[in-house]
Amino acid sequence: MGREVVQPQQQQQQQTVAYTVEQLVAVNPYNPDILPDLENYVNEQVSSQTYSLDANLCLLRLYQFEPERMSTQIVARILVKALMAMPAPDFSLCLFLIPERVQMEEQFKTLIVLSHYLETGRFRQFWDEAAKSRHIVEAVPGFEQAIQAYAIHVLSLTYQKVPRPVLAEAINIEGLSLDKFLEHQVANCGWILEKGHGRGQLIVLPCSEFNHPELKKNNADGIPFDHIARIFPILG
Amino acid sequence: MAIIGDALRQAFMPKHEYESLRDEEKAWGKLQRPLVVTLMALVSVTVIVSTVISLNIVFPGSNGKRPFCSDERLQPLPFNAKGRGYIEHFPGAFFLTDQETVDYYWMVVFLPSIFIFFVSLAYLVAGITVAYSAPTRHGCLKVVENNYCASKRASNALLTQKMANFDHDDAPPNSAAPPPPASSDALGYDPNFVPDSVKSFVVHLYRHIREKNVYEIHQMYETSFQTLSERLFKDTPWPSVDAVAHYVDNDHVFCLLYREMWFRHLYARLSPTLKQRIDSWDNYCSLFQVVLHGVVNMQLPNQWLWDMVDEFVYQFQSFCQYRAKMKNKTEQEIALLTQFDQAWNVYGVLNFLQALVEKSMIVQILEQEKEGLEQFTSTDGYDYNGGSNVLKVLGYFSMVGLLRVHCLLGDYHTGLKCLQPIDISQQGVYTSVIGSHITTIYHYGFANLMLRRYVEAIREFNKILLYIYKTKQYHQKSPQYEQILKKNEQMYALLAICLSLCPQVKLVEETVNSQLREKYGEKMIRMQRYDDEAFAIYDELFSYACPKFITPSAPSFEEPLVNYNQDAYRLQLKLFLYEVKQQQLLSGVRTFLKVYSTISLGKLANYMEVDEPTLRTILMTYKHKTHAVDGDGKIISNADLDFYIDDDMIHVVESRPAKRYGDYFLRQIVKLEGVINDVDRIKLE
Repeated sequence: MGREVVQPQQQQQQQTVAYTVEQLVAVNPYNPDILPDLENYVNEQVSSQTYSLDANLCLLRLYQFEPERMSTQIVARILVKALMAMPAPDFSLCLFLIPERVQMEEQFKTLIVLSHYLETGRFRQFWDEAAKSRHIVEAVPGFEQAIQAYAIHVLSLTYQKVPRPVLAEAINIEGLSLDKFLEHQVANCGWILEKGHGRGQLIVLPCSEFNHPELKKNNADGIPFDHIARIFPILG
Repeated sequence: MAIIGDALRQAFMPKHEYESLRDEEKAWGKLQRPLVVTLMALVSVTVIVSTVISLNIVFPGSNGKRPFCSDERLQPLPFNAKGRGYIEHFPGAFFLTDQETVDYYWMVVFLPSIFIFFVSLAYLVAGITVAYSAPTRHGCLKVVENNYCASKRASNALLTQKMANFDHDDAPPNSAAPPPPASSDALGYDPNFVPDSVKSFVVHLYRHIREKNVYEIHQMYETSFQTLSERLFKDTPWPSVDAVAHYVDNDHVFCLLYREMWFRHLYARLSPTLKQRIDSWDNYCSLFQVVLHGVVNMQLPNQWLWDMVDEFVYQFQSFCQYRAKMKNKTEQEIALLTQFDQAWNVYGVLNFLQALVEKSMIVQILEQEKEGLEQFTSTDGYDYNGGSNVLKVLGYFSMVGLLRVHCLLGDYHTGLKCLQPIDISQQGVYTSVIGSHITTIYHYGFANLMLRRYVEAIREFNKILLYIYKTKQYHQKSPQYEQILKKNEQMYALLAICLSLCPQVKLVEETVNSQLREKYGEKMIRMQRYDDEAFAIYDELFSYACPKFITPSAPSFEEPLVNYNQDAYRLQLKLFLYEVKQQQLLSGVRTFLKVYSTISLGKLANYMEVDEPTLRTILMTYKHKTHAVDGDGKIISNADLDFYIDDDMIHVVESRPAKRYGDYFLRQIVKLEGVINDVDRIKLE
């Protein structure tokens, strides 16, 4: 198909690092030869705590085309990475490309259950379940922090002021470490601690258009600058 | 009159002479009319004058008068003229009597003229008979007529043509196809027999393509091809390319195009054999290779180019479905499948589409157009400077093709990414062909639905459904009308799903909404209930409206042969229903929140018969599911009903769509400016 050109490119890349994997995916997404590079790249993402949905989807697509080359270990890593990308729907995007019989494997079943808990906001169950299957999730550094970030995201969508126990449950931090965590957030993210009526602490989350819906209307009334720019000649 | 004249000439002239005649006519067509009128007038005057003279001669007013002589003739008969007057100077000369003059005239002029006149009359009558009986038995004549009158029907035709030949995504090629090829062979299909009408068709089409006459090509491609297929090739293929090649100078590219149409016709009306599927693949390979190497210098109608891409993807999908039904494969078929494992290979298909996009530089062209450096959309992709539009427009449509292939594979994110260079919030080349317009929006909407961006899906479905509703009547006669209706119904089903998951009815126009209520009103109410019956309806609507998902990998031929053509579809359905299940409690919450402006968590938990922590998770699910992540990673709200929690109190805010006064004023300002410009121009003239 005139795509054989890439082989030399790859060899070149190994020597001179002329092409990053991202570039390979952008230039040449439908080439079975880049499969090993993409697999390496998944491992690299895991170790360097980076993430590229496009590259991972590209790899899953190649697996889909040639199921015999599929490595379940790599697929599991991709799925964990996709879980960490919540609230984006990356996890289901990946599942759409993974054949059903593969999804029947035990580790994938666990991951699907985890994703289900996250999707339905059941953080208590999620942390319990995650604790049971450490071997899967702990292979990927940054997992806990990523899920905590997602939990905080959902909480900030929902709450203006959240009771401390609810927060503690969602991010699975308690006691002293929670105090430390809160201190850090107050300093860096504009959180405010408040005394609730009798039952302990309330945390005021930074306001956004989602937990202060009245803010949204102002946004909607705005007119993009380029629209105005278009009628400048007329106004002048 | 012109048609009769044409018919006469066609009936009595040798073929090649007639062809050349038509060439000339075209060339001085404008000059022709006044010349003919003058000529006719001159002939009429001559005829009248001659008639009067003849009649005068034959029936002289008085016997004594001589024609053209003023003096009376009272002379003796010139019997023995010798020695009499001036006659002597002309030996052998004699005088005619009047009666002799008359007789002479009768014999030499009048009778032969009458004879010629009657012969001509017979000739004319014969001609008229031919002209009127011809169309029923002679396809040729109809084609010529279509060509001839084409320009007069321009505006009419364009409207109907837009809809025509629309993608037959779900045309059931296998199940409905009547006789298998074998039996049509028995009926006497001879691939080498070329009827005159087909001869004329290819000759004309070839000439128009050489002359870059896009309008005529479009007419022949749309109307004549359909008419001929309907009349002569209802259940047989067209004549083979080898049989017609010598009428078109064995032109390589034309033969590729002819074969492309040949296979398309075959897929639409018969069921292709495996060998034919493979041949069709080879033909696409050759055709695209020719286009990609940039040696093509044609202008083809957008409709045709769209059909090429559309058919290419359709045949790929059809092949994958066919290959996945392994159970009933004969050994011979399996042998062919293993031998030609490159045919309709998924890498090949994707790489061809991708190569067309890249080679055509269409992404850059669209980018430059935004800066005003390039024209593409404003000319509908055509090139008015003598260049070719083929590569550019094929590249453009290939982006839509990629979207469709990725949707078939279940890769919605990548599909939308492929479409990104096209701004679907605006008109573009993709809207210039109704088939491409519908395919684009259908897949765009579906992908957004699967990505949980319901508002975006609803918005686009609403627009296209309104458009189809308004323009449907113009396409009623189009052969693709049924396909349009089918996609229309499917998109209503998808819209019903979207609105059940995200009840933003305000985004839907009144006409679309009333159509939707009519079709799915009752089902949508039941879908809100989230019991088993509701899931069954979600299942039913999804299965009816989803694309025909494919498994792209080749089967293994060793294991016991099983059908796996449903696998892909079942997976997508399962994951979709999974998503629906995750949202099943949301509609209950929504109902309660609608009637309160503030309510405490405890009270609501009580009403909903759940404990407080569970209610918190439900509320968080609501927030999460109604806030999608868009293409740039930004959070967008899909919620019609929003709320926030302050400690233990829920505060509900119903979001009303803000009226966009700004946009309205901007539009009015531009409109006013336009009017003022028009007025200024009038003053100058």
